[in-house]
Amino acid sequence: MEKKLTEGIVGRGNQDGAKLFKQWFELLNQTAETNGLAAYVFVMGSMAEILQVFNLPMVFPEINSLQTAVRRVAHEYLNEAEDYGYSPDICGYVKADVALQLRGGNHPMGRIPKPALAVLTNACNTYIKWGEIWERMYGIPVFVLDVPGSRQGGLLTFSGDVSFENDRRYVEAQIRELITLCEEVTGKKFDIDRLREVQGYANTMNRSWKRILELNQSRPSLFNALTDGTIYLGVFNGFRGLKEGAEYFQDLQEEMEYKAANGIGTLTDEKYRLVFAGVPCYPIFRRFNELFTNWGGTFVNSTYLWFASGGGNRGYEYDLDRPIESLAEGVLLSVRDAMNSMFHQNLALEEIIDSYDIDGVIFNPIKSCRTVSTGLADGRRALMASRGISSLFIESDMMDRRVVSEAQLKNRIDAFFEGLAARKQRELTTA
Amino acid sequence: MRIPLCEPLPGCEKLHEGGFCEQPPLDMLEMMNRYCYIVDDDLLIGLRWIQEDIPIEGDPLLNLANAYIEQSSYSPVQHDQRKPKENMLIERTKNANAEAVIVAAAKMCEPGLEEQVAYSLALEKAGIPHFVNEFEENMTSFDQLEIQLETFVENLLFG
Repeated sequence: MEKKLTEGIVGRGNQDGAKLFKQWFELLNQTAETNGLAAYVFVMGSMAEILQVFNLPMVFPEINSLQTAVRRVAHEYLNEAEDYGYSPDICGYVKADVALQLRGGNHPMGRIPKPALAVLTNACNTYIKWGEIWERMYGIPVFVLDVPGSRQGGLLTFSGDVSFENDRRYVEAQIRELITLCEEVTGKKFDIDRLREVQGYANTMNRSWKRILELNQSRPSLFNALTDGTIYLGVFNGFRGLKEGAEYFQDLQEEMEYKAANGIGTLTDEKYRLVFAGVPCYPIFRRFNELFTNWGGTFVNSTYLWFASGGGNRGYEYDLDRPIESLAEGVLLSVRDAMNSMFHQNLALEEIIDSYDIDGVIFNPIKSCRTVSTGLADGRRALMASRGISSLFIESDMMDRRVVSEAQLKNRIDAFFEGLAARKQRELTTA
Repeated sequence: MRIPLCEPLPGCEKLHEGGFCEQPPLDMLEMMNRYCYIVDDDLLIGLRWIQEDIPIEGDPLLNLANAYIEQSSYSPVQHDQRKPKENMLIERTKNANAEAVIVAAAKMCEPGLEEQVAYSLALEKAGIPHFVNEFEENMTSFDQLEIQLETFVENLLFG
């Protein structure tokens, strides 16, 4: 009986996640085939809550692009965009998307519809330049939501503070403009009760996501933040505010609670608990992870799971009695947190180190994302000063296999683990 | 940074445009000066961002804010759907009577690199010759670039 229960629960998150992903891309394909309306959005501040009210299918170009790398065809897209004129030095996600648009939306997972509008935030500077490309290609409205960030690393304001209230009102006014734009684009009237329903599902997802991340404090860790975590992130973004998304995260939380209660970890015999800073190396996604798991290293958390969930890790829950005001507050807090997780990664890492019993930090700056990578070297120095924890600084890319050297990565990673082993041995000897 | 076309030989006026907000290496500018007259540019565009006098009547803060939005130049780091940057480049090129445009692509400046594609496409469509000049901020040798620019200029003169 117990075995049967285990078989039903353990691994369910990954299986259901794959099914939902397929379902999502089928919807996009169908929308493209029927020339339906679709919204292009980004993971940091997707504004899914508003777009779902208008039943607009959401396209996440970041996810489309990384999928081309995971499926090992990214180089074809990158080459095409570079032939068109884009520099090898710019964001690989942008280039893959440009090629995808030039190919009429053809993607390894189906056809991607053209945008009817695009919604961007200022969380990443490239978002805005990216939006301008669609603006030029399709003449669509591009809505840029300007979300005030932290004025200083670690300096946070909250509800009740004057500056926070000013920021919240600023975001709220923009959300109301977005609603008007969505009405114009879709020809549909905004329905506040539908917004409440969507927010209810988003609340469930946020609550569960926060709890799932906390549960990985278990020893052994319950899921791999780098590999399994990416699947969860995909559902978190693509199904945000939907019933299926809420059910998925309730099930996932149940799975993790069960694994924690029964001491069931990942397939790796956990010797070193690691945290990952940066963006995954998608061109050799599984192999990159194996370079760590082969030594007994498991990723128990990452800054990626924080910022690529748009700050969903904080578990903000909307007040359904004041939906729009609360949406503004949630967007402000969550997107601000996502920005902090990128621009002040050392502070996010300190928080993780203090609660997840971490042995080492892996910094992986990538060539084609300066937004995430630029401050990592300084962040590492600050972290070494504040926590004195072992860390490894390697370089790869999220899209471009031409700048990923597996042999060099392996050398550096092997040496890191040898150092970690020696450090552990010394600690045992001196204890 | 943006450079209009220039001409040290008769008939070689160019505009230098680069979508980069800092000053590029001086040696690079000197190199370009040897081959063409730069008749307009976008060097240090921030210092001449506001293009007209700001009204002194009324609310000064409101006037200043309005000037930034309504009386300003254009740059890759400004998003304004009412001001397509490539159209403004074409207009500036024509106003400067430039024969060609040098689009300086700073490899460390992502917004500029992204903009450069739109600039190139618009210049091609308008039939304005242009030269894309990729450079690094800390570059010290411009020999290669010089050969390329010289070839470009000769094409304009004798082509």
